[in-house]
Amino acid sequence: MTDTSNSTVVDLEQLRATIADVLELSLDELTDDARFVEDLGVDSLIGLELQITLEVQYGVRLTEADLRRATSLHSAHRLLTALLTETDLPAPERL
Amino acid sequence: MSAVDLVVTGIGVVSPWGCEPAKLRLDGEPATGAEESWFDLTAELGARGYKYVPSAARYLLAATRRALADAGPVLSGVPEARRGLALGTNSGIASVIDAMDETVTGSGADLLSPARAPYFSINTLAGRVAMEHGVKGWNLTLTSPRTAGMEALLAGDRAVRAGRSDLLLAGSAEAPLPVHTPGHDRSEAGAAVLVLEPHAAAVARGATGYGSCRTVAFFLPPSEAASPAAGRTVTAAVTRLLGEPSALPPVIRLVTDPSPVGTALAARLGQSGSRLDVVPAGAGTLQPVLHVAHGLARPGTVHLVVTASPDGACAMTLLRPHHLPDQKRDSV
Repeated sequence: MTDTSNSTVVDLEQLRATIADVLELSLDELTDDARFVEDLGVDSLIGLELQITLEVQYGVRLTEADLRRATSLHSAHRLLTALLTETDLPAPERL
Repeated sequence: MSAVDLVVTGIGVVSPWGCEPAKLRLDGEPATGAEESWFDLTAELGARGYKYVPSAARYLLAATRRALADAGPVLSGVPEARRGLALGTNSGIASVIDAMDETVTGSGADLLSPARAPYFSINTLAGRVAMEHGVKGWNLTLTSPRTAGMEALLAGDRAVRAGRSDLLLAGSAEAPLPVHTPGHDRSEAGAAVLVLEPHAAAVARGATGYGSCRTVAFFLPPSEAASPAAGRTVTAAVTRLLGEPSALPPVIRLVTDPSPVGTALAARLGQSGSRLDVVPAGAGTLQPVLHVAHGLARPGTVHLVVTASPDGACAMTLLRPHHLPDQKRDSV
């Protein structure tokens, strides 16, 4: 597993708390690699809720392709970090 | 009682007035206690799965679970396509719609909560219960001011008599009106659900039940509520309910307000010789149904529950509670 907890763009524990709240999970249950759909039973509606929540909280626009990549806390963290890094660039096509 | 007559075999209540049907505190002003003092979401429904479910739907789900638990194993004997549900509500999703409006006019429709969006429609409160309990025969939501809960009993009874289902869940659910809305201070919160089944079916499965109830609904034009014609309307309604207008029970409970309609109906009923208890109404459909539930669970106090709204909608429910010793009722 790649250690992303030191990222200065997206705080992993803050993201864990946000996602756990949306999914009605305890922080302990939302491990870094638990898969949202297969392990945590997230359905499409809650997936959309998570999308909106992350978009608002982190000021990004998530595409369907982005959501397909964000299958766990770890991958969501990696995705958000990448998106926020890009949005710092002059061409904010994702916003 | 004929085999097709419905009997109430289960009652479920969650409300600030109490959650035990026989012990509801209904003689005072509308209850306004904070939800935390009377509704434990985790205890009623579980720790998960209801975060995005509106308050009124939570109350309705909890009251339905209580009613079905009280009725015993009735669902197992009724196919899903033979189960029906009738709900009355006025403010069940008012706060949900208000919050959606605020989002749309503020940050934009793109930021509406997808998980809460399905509850934009008043029908989804009962729909959520139907999903949980496999109610696939029919599902009806009524919204007449104040009377809709009692009208749900009437409409549900008609549906069962028409052969559309063999089991009826009927009642009321409300959630507080938004703070800036007129009537907020008289908002109701909570739910009451009755399980009704044909007398023959209840006997066949050994259910004793609480008794039966029959409802009539009528309309008094507010501008003519005290007119002779309105008087004839009331007399006709009583006759439909009781067979003859002079047979009113000794105690009548009228849930209403000082509007022309409420005042006129109180005057008419007050001439009957029955004792008339007038109870201040809240801003919803719940209190009249709570009085029905209480009257069935604690027989001997009220046998006729009446309600009237300022708009002219009126309804009466006649209670015929069982008078035999009933262990179930004692345990409520």
